[in-house]
Amino acid sequence: MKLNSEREVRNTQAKLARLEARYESLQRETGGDAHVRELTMESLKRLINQFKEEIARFEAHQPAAR
Amino acid sequence: MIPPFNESGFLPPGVHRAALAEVEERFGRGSEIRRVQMDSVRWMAELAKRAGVERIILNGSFVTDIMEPNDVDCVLLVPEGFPMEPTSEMELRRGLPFLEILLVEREDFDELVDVTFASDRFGASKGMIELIA
Repeated sequence: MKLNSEREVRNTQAKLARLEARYESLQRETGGDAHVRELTMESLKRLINQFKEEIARFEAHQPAAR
Repeated sequence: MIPPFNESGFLPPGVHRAALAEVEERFGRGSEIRRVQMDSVRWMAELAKRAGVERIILNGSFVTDIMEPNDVDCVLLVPEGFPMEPTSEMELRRGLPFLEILLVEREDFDELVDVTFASDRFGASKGMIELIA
């Protein structure tokens, strides 16, 4: 997905922040099924990286602030 | 029955349950790329069933009115004790053409379905498909 406006970036950043918080929470967890947690973290990390790339691509094409 | 698209080309908000045949009828025949993506969806569903996945959500441009979607986002709910069949899990993790497969536990499944994928990039609510057996 390609982000085309500040509004789209803000919405993506909000979703990203929630996913990162959840990822950090999972890193601290010790109970439950370790394999399922590992799968979940692997999936969340891929999505987090995807969102970060989309935001970075948008920002890379913005004029430099004066 | 899968509801019609809204004026933006998305499904109306919510999780719309549909069998594989209905998904194919609605989303898997409109173009050559959709036919290929549908093949991957069918194979993913089979692997998910063998592996012991509890729920499958389809999202992304595949479930919009776009003629040639980029991909199919798949959110798979995995229960404790997963997988039933390790080789199927391995194939899901290796991936399938056009599919972005996320294997997650319940709390994160709910987050992805209720928040992350419940709105488009502009923040407008949109729907998704739950594949049922």
